[in-house]
Amino acid sequence: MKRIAHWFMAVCFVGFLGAGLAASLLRSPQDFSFWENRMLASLPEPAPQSVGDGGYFTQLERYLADHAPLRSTLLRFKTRWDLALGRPVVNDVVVTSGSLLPFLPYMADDEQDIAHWAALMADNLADINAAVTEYGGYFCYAVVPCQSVSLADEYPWFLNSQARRSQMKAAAMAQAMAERGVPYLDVEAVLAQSGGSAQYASRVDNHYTMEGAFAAYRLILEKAAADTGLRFPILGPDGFRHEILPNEYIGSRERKLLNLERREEQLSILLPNEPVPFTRADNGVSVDPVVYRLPSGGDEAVDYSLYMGGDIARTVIDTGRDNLPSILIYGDSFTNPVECLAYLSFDETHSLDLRHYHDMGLLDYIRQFRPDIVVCIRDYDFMMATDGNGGGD
Amino acid sequence: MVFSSILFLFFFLPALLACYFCLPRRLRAWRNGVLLAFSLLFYACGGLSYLPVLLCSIAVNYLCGLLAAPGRPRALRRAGLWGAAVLGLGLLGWFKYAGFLCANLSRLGVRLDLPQIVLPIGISFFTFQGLSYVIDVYRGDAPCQRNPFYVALYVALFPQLVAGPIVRYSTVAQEIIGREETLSEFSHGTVRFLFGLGKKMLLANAMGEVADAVFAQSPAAMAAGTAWVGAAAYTLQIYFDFSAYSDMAIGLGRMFGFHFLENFNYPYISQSITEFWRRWHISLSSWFRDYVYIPLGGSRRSPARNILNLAAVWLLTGLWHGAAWTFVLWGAWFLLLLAGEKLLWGRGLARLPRVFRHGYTLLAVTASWVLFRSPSAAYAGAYFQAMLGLGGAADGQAVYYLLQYWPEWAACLIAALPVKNRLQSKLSRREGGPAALALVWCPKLAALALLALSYLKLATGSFNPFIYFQF
Repeated sequence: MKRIAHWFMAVCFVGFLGAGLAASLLRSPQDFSFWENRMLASLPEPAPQSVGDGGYFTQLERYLADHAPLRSTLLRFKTRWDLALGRPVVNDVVVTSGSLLPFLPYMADDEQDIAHWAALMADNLADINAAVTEYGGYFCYAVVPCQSVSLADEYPWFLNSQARRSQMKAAAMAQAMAERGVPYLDVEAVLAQSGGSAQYASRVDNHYTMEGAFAAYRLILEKAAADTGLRFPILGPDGFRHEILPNEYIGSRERKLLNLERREEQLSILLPNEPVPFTRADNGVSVDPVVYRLPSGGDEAVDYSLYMGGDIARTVIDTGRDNLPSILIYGDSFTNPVECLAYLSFDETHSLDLRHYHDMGLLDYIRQFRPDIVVCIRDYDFMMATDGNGGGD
Repeated sequence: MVFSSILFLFFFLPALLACYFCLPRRLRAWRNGVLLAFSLLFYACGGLSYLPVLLCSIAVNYLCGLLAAPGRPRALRRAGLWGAAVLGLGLLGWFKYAGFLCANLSRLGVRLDLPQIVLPIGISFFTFQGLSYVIDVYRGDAPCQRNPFYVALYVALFPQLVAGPIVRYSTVAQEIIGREETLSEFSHGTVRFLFGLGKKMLLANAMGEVADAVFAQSPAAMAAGTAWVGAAAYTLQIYFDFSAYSDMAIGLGRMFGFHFLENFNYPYISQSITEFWRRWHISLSSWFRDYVYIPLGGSRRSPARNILNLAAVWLLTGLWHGAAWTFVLWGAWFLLLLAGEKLLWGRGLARLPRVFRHGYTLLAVTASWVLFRSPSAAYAGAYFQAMLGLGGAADGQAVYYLLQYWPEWAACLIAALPVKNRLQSKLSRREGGPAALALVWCPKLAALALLALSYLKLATGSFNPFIYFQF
């Protein structure tokens, strides 16, 4: 009996090692993990320096872990298991009955530190404002609510929604912008006066819904029109047809949970009652004149890249209406659904995502194209982040 | 390379097992050669540039061992002993303590420019192991080994090379020359290795996530509950991390026919600090006892001299763990407790109910780990204040960490107690088939389940650092 057990143990263990070795050597490596939304580690090249200090084997281990046999299946199993165990946070997603929210780390709310970052950001924006006003243009920095701000009340009591921090950031930013005389719009603060932004927040994604984007579109353009006296159409609810897509919507939080935890939500689009013909160029290449990347069939799932086709370095939409002003909208992916509406109000709509656009600096771009209106849209999470779309040049 | 890695499990270990066990048992020297080559490769994976340090340490210990062997002139033997001590500890001192010394001298106004020194992995372990060989040879407690490859294999044997346990030469001297690898040994070694792997991947890493998150925060604004949860998490992490490594080392050794001594014996069930140190990192505490404390006179001198001896041991134990004042304070804390138990409250403590003795020991040990984990003495001071409720207001963090990791907390509590041992001894007392069947099969099936769960964690997570590598 004992001998059989020893044989069993030895065979199982050695078999596991052998199978692991064979599977590691034979499997075809992937570059991208869809559910994790990240590039997987690539096979490192040995170099004298990295072999000498051990860095090569650390990178090799990272590669092997990323390409471990059965990894995708095990990720699903682990996620399912963690959900079943009732952990409040799974794969960095706070699982509540109504929503899937981002897990936010506990951090001290240092007022001085926040004021420091607000000043740095405001200095950047003041430089951009100076460049725009120099040729008679108008610049505005619009801050929109992200999911954790809109749905702060939905966090379990023991988790940090960073609500206090968000308030401190908004106050510091408003003060810093006012001190520098840079036009600033806190969309969350305006929405709070009319029922709050929760109604515009997605339950399964960090971004606002199309309705939220529409509210931001109107508030930003109304402020620009009021501040400049420029005349351009700002469409109201009557100007659009609201269409809900029947396709399965996979929000970024659901994606993090490998689509194993669902909250019912559909993506929607706003179609103008009076369509405006336009041309569109992405990164200088002419593409189909559409702003929604609609699914090819009812079975195809959709995600937030429905709007404008996702984050693209540079897009120019030209409606050929010379009597209207031009606009440059830049910022993170919160700009995408706004751009789906904004082109209806302008002659030319330029869109930049500085995380991907590297042909020239922002200030050079502004000086070259001299848009009448320049709007930077960022969310509460990134309102003070001076990298990416928070950079000046 | 760590044992709980895909590189080790799917590449290094299968290659070693294949090369080793393909050779017939009678070719012992060849098998030892394979083991030595793989051990050096294992070490080189942590950084090829550190390999000369290990080879240098092996050469010093081999040559000094030859000199220190009984039968040679006394002066030569003493030269061998002191040569090993000065060169071995000098190497350790340069790599581990030169920066610390210079930093402290510069505070006193003495500026010394040092090049950037990177600590070679496991230097504290293989230095002490090599030194113990020479001392044992000098004392006549172990035979002098004239084959340099055997000394190299003893010092560099990969299971215990980088994080212990510190194996005495006398423990493995016979096994290096003539051990027996059997199916039963391999099977037992595998079970032990997999229990260690499970401890590391499932318990230590989870507790490490909690401890790292808490200790990354400023204690000035930390709620008392959070501070206690962080301290408890680190207390569990360091035990499961280090004892897991020892389990894996012992298990791997056994697969190849070596029998290392136990390094941990459920330390958190101790009822005094004295007992705790009989159960925690046994190979290190017995090293200091045999090579420092007893040669200084141990407890056979006056109480004052006894305290001085204890002070020397605990200052060195603290510094062995790291070149920082927090480690010195950590050693001083245990000196205080051990001296106190010896001379002041030990007898009174023994008369208290068991629950108080456990409580006292756990509190004292947890406090010591706060010192150990803190980046500075000032941080530790502020952390203790937070534990006393003098930090920030309650914020729900403690509840989050308890709810988020509830399966791990529960498993840690069970695994920190000798539940497995008691079950085994209960079963072994019973007569009959089912009990015998359970005794044979349950550990193996549990080990395989732990392997599956550990691989699940390994393939899906990236949080995998070993604490004791830094020593």
